[in-house]
Amino acid sequence: MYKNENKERKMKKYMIIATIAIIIFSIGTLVVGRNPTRIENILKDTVANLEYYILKAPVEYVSNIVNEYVALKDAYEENKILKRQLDGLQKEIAYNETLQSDLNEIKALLDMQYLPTDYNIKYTTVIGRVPSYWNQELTIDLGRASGIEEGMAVINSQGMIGSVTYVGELTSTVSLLTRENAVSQLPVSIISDDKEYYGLLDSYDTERNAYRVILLSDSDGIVNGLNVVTSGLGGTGKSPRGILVGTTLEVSKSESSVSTVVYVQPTVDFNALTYLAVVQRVNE
Amino acid sequence: MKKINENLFLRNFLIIILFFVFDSFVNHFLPTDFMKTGISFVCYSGLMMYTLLVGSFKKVERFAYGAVCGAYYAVVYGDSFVIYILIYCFIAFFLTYLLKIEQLNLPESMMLGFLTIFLQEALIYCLMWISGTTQIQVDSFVIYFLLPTLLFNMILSPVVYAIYNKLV
Repeated sequence: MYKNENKERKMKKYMIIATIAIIIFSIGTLVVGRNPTRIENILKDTVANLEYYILKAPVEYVSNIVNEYVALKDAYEENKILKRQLDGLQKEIAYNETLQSDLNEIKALLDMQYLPTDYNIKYTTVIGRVPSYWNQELTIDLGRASGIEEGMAVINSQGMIGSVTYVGELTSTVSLLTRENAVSQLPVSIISDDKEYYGLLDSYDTERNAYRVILLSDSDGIVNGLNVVTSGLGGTGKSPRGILVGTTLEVSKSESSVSTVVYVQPTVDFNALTYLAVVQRVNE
Repeated sequence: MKKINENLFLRNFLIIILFFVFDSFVNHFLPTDFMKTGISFVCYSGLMMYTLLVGSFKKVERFAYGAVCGAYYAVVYGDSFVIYILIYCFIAFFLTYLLKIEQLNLPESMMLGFLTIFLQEALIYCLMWISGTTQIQVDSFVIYFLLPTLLFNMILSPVVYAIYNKLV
């Protein structure tokens, strides 16, 4: 009897210790961040791939066919608008060709192999995401076997959405720019007519629904609506120069009043991410 | 130590895996609100089925089952967030020592599902707030995520209960 009570008391003690340890470990991993082990990643990747190719992909395929059929109804009207826009396109193509030719000449003169704006892209599909309100990560169907490396920028047709934070053999994890606590700061530049301002995109503000960019230069001349693009200054493996991130929304002082913060409205609709592309600088 | 009923353990674990797959499938096609500008919700049929199935084990087996299910969820779907193991074990503890009901009826299972999802999301929100991972206000969290998630899963819970009744 006494032995049983003692055993139960001991069991309770162990359970309390285990509970406290798990809570402390959970908070710790949230603050510091914990990289999953190799076995965890293999299990996660395997399940994600199986689920996607057996269940999600066939449904997505059927859904796309239905969407395309529905979109066909609008094709006539869209075609009329596009024909009107085609008139201006020839002028743009000619202008672009002239610029490209000038650029090639300058590269040859300066003996340059590549520019910071040069990049290749690899198209990819979202195959999974963590089912949580707090999730700011996606799993894509390209991994080490496709030449993907950590730190590469990921874009969609509207601009940059995030960067690769983990690379598996067949899949990769993309950390979105809408994270409240960014994994790393993204070097960006704000393009004005006569000046370029440099800064670091460090987080996403959920109250303003805008990125928070800490300015590294003065803020004179920054007005609302200026384009914010990647500066290409992050170093090897980081995003190339010139990928659209958003447009300026507001300029204010930081909480400590030491630095200037520019809030940037994202150009990407993060609620409709299916087809993406991983960006690779040509010099890598 | 009593020997764990391996067949029942494996069977119930496979059932939970199937429900997790269903959740993942549904969540893949549900709208996602990465920018936190509107309503979003998550399907938790696996968690609701777990609260029903865990009662079919004896005391110690429940904790082992909770730990295995929690660990699987944490690794595959929970971004290796170990708090899920604790949540799953706590549900086993709650059913064993506090609720003390072996077989649940529909209203009880709905209430338990409601409480479990509420506690899980509230606990994770508290951890995110304490660690400074989020600045989202409580009212925004409740209006835009917690209530829609609870409502969606309450609609789903009779279906989960009906499947559970067929299984036992």
